[in-house]
Amino acid sequence: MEVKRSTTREELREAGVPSLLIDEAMGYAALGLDRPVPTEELVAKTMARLRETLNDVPLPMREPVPMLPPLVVTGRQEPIAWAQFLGTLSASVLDEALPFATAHPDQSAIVVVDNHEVVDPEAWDVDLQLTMLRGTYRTAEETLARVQQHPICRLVVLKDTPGAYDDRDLAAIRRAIARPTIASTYLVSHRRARALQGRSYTVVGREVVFELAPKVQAGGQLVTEPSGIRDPERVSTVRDVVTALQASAVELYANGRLNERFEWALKSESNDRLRDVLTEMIG
Amino acid sequence: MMFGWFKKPKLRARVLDELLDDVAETTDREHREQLWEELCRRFIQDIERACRVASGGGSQERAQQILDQAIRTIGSDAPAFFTRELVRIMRRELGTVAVELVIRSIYVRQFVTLLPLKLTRYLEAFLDNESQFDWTAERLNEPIETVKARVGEAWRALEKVVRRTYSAAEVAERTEGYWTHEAFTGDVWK
Repeated sequence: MEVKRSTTREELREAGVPSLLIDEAMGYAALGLDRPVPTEELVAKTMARLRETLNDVPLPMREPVPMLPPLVVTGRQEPIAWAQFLGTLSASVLDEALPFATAHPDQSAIVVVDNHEVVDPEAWDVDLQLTMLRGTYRTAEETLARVQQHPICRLVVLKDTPGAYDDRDLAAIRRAIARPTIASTYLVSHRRARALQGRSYTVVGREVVFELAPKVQAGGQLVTEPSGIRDPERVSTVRDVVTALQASAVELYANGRLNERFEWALKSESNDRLRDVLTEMIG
Repeated sequence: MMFGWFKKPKLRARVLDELLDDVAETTDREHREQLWEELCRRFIQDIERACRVASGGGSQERAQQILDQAIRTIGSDAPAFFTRELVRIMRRELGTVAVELVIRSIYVRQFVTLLPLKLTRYLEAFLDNESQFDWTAERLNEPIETVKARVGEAWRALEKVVRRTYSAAEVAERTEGYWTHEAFTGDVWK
């Protein structure tokens, strides 16, 4: 195939080609690149390859949003409700998660949707109830590790705008990244989260789901139904949506190594880099 | 066979943002593959060219891997600026020097389908063939003078349609500032 390039700068200029493209074309000529493979041939080869790997990307859920209304309208924050919640959650790790993990060794028995619009990152450091919840997650994580099952899968839904994170939030995020309670963590923007916007779930096994509600007043975090809800359809939906989002989410630790952008951010003692990275992700 | 990919005018004419939304939202596997193929058709030449510039061999395989990564970023929602995401991945995989040589071509691709399809095909073939009129004419099986005239017409029309569709700030945002309204006209190199 003839490689010689016969089109001159003048010809391109006369035809009205922008100078940016002319410079680029002259650059190819200077490099002595081979003549390009015909597009249809290149596309055919590429698609043959992509079909092998890309078909594992799950298809989006049909009409996911209407399937995820709030569990209840108002939540409860009193200590007794939280004690019940934490107790039920702990029990469900044994009653629901372990049998599920055994039956479905390829899936995480516990899926957590940690939505920053619902629970401020800083709250995990200052709210006693959330601190206790974190302890429950840690125990569950250790339990799953002990029986050699998939760890908890956590999807963090970021706030809508970078400006919504104050320095205390960023400090809490920094600590959480450096010492994660749940290592298998993915981050996704509010915009991409779609069906999970405004939702903060803990799904256990095949049919149990807990939900934290947004704060509507000063005080502790609200939990909508302390004893959880048995709702296989909702659990299945949350699992499917999280799985679909994982494909485009940022994995915090891949193969035990911290994501390079967050690693870069944490090398600085100020929060500026971390804010930059979150801004990139929020888009 | 040569013009097999001209048989899907609706898909070929689709503006990139709409195409990406469709990729994100379709629940039909076969349709999604057709959309992937269309994305591939639009960008694979520039990616492969950057791989050739970066050298190291296996340019087609490397281009396939890069496109694979870029398509995966679409997920269940289209990225705000797919082309920038693609460039980011290319820079990471190939380095900035190789990408710099093809970046204007990559960034202008997102605007080409704003044109009527009869002009789009000329500009796409022209970009695919590294701005060589004779190669473009050969691919389109048309006289070289016709190709020159249509390519010129396409660039003039593109300047107008980009101005009408996107503000100066939007063009800069979509192209990292490589393209501006003025850059589509001949004024820039005067």
